Amino acid sequence: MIELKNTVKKFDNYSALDGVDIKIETGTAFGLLGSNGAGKSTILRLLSGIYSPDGGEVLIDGQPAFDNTANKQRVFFINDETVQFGSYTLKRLKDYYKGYYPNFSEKDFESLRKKVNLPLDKKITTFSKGMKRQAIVIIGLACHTDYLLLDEAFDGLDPTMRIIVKKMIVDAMLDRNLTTVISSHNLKEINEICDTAALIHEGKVVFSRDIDSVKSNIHKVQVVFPKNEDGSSSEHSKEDLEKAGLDILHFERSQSIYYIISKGDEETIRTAFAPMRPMLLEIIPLTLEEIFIYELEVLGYDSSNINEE
Amino acid sequence: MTAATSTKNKSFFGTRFFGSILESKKLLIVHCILSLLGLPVMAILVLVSQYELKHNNINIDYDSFFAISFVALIISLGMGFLIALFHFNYLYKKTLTDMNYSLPLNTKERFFADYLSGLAAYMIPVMCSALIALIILICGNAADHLLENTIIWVLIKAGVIVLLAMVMFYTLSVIGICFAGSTFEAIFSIFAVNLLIPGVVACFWIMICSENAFGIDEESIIYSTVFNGTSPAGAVAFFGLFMERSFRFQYDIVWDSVYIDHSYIRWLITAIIIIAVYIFAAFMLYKHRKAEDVSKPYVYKSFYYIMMTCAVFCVLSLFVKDDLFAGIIICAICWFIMDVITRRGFKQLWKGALGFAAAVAFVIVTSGICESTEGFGIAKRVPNPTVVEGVELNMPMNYSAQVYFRDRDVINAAIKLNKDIVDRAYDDDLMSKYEILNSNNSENYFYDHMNINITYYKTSGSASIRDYMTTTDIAGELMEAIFLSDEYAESLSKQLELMIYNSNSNGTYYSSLSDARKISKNCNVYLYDMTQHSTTIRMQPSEVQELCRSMMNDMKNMTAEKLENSKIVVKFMGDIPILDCYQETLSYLAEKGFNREKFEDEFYADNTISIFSPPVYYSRVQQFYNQDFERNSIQKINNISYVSTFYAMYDIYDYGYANTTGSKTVRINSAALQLMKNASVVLKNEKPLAVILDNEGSVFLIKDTPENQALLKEATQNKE
Repeated sequence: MIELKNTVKKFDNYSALDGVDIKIETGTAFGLLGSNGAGKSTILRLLSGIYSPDGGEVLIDGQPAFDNTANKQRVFFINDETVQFGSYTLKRLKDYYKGYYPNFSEKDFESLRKKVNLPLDKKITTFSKGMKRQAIVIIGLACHTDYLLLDEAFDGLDPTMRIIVKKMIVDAMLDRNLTTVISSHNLKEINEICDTAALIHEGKVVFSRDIDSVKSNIHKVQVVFPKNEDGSSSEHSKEDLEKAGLDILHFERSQSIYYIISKGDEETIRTAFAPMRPMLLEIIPLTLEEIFIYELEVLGYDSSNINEE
Repeated sequence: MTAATSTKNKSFFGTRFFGSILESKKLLIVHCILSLLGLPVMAILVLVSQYELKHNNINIDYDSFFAISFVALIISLGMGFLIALFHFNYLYKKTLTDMNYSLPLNTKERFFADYLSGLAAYMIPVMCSALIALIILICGNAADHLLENTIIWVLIKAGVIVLLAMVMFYTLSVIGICFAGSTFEAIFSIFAVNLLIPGVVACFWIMICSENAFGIDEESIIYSTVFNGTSPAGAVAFFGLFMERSFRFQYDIVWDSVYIDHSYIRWLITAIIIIAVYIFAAFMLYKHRKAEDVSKPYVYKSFYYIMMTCAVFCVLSLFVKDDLFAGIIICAICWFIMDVITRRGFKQLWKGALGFAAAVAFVIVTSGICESTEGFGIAKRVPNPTVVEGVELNMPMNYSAQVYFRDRDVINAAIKLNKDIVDRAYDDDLMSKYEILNSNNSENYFYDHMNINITYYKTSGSASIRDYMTTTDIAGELMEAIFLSDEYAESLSKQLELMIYNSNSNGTYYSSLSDARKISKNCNVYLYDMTQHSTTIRMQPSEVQELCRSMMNDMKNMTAEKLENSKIVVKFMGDIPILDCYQETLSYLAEKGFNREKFEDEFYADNTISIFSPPVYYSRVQQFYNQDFERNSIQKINNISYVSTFYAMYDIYDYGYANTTGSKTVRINSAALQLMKNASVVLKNEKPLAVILDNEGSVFLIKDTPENQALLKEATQNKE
C-alpha cells in the first residue's frame, strides 16, 4: 500500500505539495489528475524515491520510499520523457534495467515486445515518440515490480496502441496484483483503467476517491420550473437552490432552462428539487473530464478567468 | 489476484559499477587508444633510437613522433574530467535524473559505484599503458640500464605520484560536478576547483613574496605540501621536483637522495589523506544535493561566490603591487560575464556588483595586512628545531651546489644563523649599532656579503626555503658545524674522487661514481698551492679511493679546536683544502711521493694580491641590487669586533664589487706569501687582521697575531 501522509515538497520557495494525504491500496489502479504544475509528477517522483519529502511521510508498504533500495526494487517509474533512452537499443535498455530488477521476466518481455512489434537492435533514437513510450512500458512491465508509476502514460500513443498498452497494464494487474499509479491529462484513459483517482490542484488534494463514487457524487442537472400563476417565469437563484440543499459547482440559466452542476448523488438532488416541483428534471452523470473542469473552476482554475488574465 | 512479487534487499553496486563502465565504452576506447599512443609508443621510440645509435651509429630524430606521443599522453591524462562528466551526467542533465535516481540504489551505492567506475575507466588504461611501456623497455635492451641504475624504481615511484595526481584530478572534477546543475557550470566548476585550489595557495604566497618579505623565497611554494599535496597541479609540480631530484641523484654522486627520501613517503601520505578528504567532501556534496537541483546553475550558491572571490584574489594578487586598477577592470569584466551567464540574464545584477565589491575589498584588505605585517609575519618566523628534520644549504663553502644535513649540530647552527639574520634585520636596537655609509665612500673596505639559501625539511614532509644575503661574520658557527659534520666529510670525499676521475677522462664526464671507478685507469691527482701553483701525483683508481677515504677519515676525526688552529697545506684539484691536521691524508700523499717541504719551497710568487682591512660593512638587503634605499643601505658595523668566516675556503664570486680604492695591492713577496700560508680556516668571534684577495678570487683571512702584524707590515711596505 502506498501512503502519503501530510506530505510537503518545496522547490526553493515554491510549495509543489502542501500537506498531501493519499492512500493507494495494493492491486488498484490509481489515477492522478490535476492542472498543470499541480504536483502530480512530484508525487510520482516521491513515490519512486527520486525526491525526498520536505515534510510528512511517503510510505510504500509502511517503509519510507526515499533512499530505500528494497522499496525501489519494487517500484518502476516511467516518466514523461523518452529522450534519455536515445542512445540505447531496445535490447541494451532491457539489459540495463534487467540488472537492477531481479524479477525481470525475459519471457514476458518477449511476449510484450511481439505484441507491439518493436525491433530489438535498432537504436531507440530512431523510434517515434509512441514507440519509445511502448519500449519503456514493456520493459517496466517485464521488470515485474509491485508498483508501476506512469507519468503521462499514453502520451504519443496512437489509439490502437493505447488500447494495447492499456490491456497490457490491466493484464499485469490481474495476473500479479500490480499496483499502478497513472498521471495523465487524458482523463478518458484514467476513467477506463483506474479504480480510484485523486484530483490535485496547487499542491493540495481536491479529492481522492473511488472513481465511481466521484462520478456518482456529481451531476449535471437540467431543470425547468413551472410558470407562476400570473404567467411569469418562476425565478430561482443559485442561493435559493443552495438553501434547498444543493452543493452547486456551476450555475447557468438560458431562458427557462437551468443548467446546474451539483455535488451529491441523484437521490439527494431529486429530493432537493422536489419542493419546487420542476416541470423537467434531468440528472445526467458527468464524465471525469467534466468533473475535472467543474471542480477546478470552483478553485479558480477556469478557462474564462485565464483568458481574462 | 496473486501475491506481491517477492524481492530481496539486494545491493546493485556491482551492477551499477560494471554497467557504468559499459555505458562509457566509447569514451573508454578513445582513452585506451590515447593511452597506448602515449607511454608505450615513447618506450618503442627510445628503444629504436638507442638501437640505431648503437648498431648503425645513426642518431635519428624522432622528435615529431615523441611530440605526438606526448600530446596523446597529456590528453589521455586530461580525460579525467570528461570521464567524471560522463559518469555523473545525471547531475547536470535533467532528462537523465529520473532514470538514474529511480533505480534501486541508495545514495551511497550510487555515488561510490559511479565514482569508482569512472575512476577505473580513467586509471586502468593509463596504468596498463605504463605497464606495457615498462615491459617494452625491459624486454628491449634498456633492461640493464633500468635495473642497474635503479631508474626503474624512480619510474615506478614517479608513476605512483602520477596515479595519485590523477585520482586527485578526477575527485576534484567530481566535486566540481556536484556543485553544478547544468553542463556549462559543471565544466566551469571542474576547472575552477582544479585550478583555484593551487592558484589561491600560489597567489597567496606570491602576494607575500611581492611584499619583499625578508628572506622569503618564491620557490618555497613548490616544496610546501599545502601546495603540492592538495591539487593535481601541485602534484605535477612535485612530480617535476621528484624527477629532477631523482635524476640529479642518479647522475651526481654528491647528491643525496634526501629530498626523495624525506618527502616522497610523506607526500604520498599527505596526498592519500587529502584524496580521502576530497572523496568524503564529494560524497557529502552529492548526498546533500537533491534530484530537483538539476538544471540550477549552481546547487550550492555560496560555492559560486567563493569560487569567484578566489579567482579575483588570484588575478588581483598579481596586479596589486603594480596596477591594481587594471586588475580590477579585468576582474570586473570577467565577473560581469560570469554573473550574466549564471543568472541567465541581467536580473539582479546589483547583487553581483555587491559580491564583486566585497571580493575586491577582501583582496585589498588581505594585501594591506600582508604588507603591514611583512608577509603575515612569516619573514620573522624561524623554524622550531624540533620540527626540522634536515637542512639543505646553498652557500659559498659548498663545493657542490647544495648539501643536505641531518646532523643536529648543523641544523641548530643553521636555525641560529637564520635567527641572527632576522634579528639583525628587525631589531632596531641592534640596528642602531650600524651607521649608514655612502657606497661611494673611498674608505678601504671589503664588501663583505654572502648569499645563503637554507631549505628546511620538516617532519611534516613540507619544506621551506629562506634566502638571504648577509655578512659572513655571523656564519662562522654554521660553517664550523658543517665542516665538522660526518655528512659533509662523506659528501666532500665523494666529490673529490669524482673530480679526480673526471679530470682524467679526456673530456668524458662521469656522472656516476661507480661507472667512473670501473672505467678510469691511471689518474693524475693535482695539488695546488695558495697561488695555484700545482704538482701532480699519479694514482690508480684504488689509490684515489684510498686517498679520498683518508681525507674523509681526517675530516670525521677533526675537532673544533683542531679546525680553528689549522692552516691550509695544499688544495686538491684547486678547490678542496687539505689542512695541516689531516694526518692520514698527508701521510698517504707522502707515501705516494708528495714532498710537502719541497712543494712549499716552490711557491710561485710572481703575482699580485690585494690586502684589505677587515670587512666592516653590513648589508641588510635581501636582493643586493634592490634600489630601495632603506633595504639597500650599506651599514657600517661600529666596533663589532668579530668576524668569523671560512674565507680561505671559498672563492668570492663577485669580488669585483669590493671597493679596492683603499686596498693595498702588493706583489707576492716572502712576507705576503707567509701571510697567505698563515691564513686561518675559520675565525669565530674574532676580528681578522686583514683580508687578502688573490687574482683567482680566493680570499684569505689573516688572524690578528704579532707574527701576522709584522708580516703584514712587511708585505705592505713593498707595494707594487
